[in-house]
Amino acid sequence: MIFEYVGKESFVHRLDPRTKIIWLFVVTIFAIALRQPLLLVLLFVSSVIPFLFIKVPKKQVIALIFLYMLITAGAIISQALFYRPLTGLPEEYTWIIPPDFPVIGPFTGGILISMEGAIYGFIQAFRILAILNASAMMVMTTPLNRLIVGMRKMGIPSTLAFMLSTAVRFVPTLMDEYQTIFTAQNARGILNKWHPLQLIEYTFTPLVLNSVRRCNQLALAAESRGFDSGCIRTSYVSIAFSYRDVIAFIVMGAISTGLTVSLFHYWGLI
Amino acid sequence: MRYFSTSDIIAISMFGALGVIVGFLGNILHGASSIVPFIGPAILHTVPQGIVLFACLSTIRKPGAATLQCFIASIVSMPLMGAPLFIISYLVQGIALDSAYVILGDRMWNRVAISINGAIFATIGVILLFYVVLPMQGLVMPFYVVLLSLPINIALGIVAALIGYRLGTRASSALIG
Repeated sequence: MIFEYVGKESFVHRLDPRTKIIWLFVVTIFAIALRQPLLLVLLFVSSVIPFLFIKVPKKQVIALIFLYMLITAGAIISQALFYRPLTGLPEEYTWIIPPDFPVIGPFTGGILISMEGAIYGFIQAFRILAILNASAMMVMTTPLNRLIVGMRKMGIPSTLAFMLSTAVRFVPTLMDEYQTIFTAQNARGILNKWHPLQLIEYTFTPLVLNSVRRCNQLALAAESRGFDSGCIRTSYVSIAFSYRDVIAFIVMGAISTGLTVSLFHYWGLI
Repeated sequence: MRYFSTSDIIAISMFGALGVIVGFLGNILHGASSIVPFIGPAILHTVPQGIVLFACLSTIRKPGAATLQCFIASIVSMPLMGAPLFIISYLVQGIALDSAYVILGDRMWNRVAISINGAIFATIGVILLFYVVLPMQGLVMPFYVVLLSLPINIALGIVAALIGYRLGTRASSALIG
């Protein structure tokens, strides 16, 4: 997976998971609220800052860059084709399907490609990438068990936290099992990769049935260990805020204040 | 939570994990899916998520299972796939399915009712994608794109729901407790 924990000992790695969750929340809120291109670029740049402290393996960097290019290309192409300014038509455009084209023309109002739309899409990609950066930073620097402890400390009920950790543990198991089933069915020569319904029937069904049987065993194991006994649950993993988190909160506060002030300035409130 | 047995809780987690796996590409590439707007959302969101969600509800057969599955899938996929905006979309779909189950009761478990719910699931997915998730990301789509995506998504949503139902019916007999 591209988003995978990278075990290092950096400043960001040692931060409390709650600090990183709050950072993701802050970036998401700003990504939704900001509309101005410059502020979106600034938000993106801010979201890159934590990566300066993490030594991300080259393989992962290349994969991330590829993913980012794909997302940017998607945003650019889709907006080049579908963006229409509130005033009507973009300044420079070329009709792909003119409005007077039979059937499709009147139905769609004409399909055009415009440079203005492409630029708009490019700017909007920063919004998506900023959120992606904050998420990637969190996953690359926090083991999932610490992340779940962090969520629990933020108020998620322990049963839900148990479900989350079980789901996280299930992901690689299910992927391995699917691979095994796929290979086995393929070896039997009964898979037709061009027949999606058959593919689902022969691979997904055994996967779900095996997994449900495993759920029964897991449930027995959990109950024998006192799950759902009503006692307060404790955790082997402990987390606590440190001076690093204070520094991170100061930086986060400065970035948030800067962006909020700029936003108010753009709105004409300051 | 006492309403769900331990087996139910673990089975929902397992379906949540399946939701994470099948939703991986969909959550990341939904921007790129806009290039093929009519079929993209269906392939990336409606079909894979629909199969897992209906399989989960058909296996557990208790109101709340769909919402929990969606919650688990979205909360885990949020950090794993950088798509927190999809949480709203997932949760609304889960709540809608659970509401349908509360209203219909055991009348839910036949092909007609499942198909109707599949259509509702797909419609909610498309509407939320085009009017909530994409606008939040600053991406705009003209109305005709939504209009053309809707029937394709509904058709594939019904197929996904029926596959999920078939799968869940088989799986429910394997679940103890």
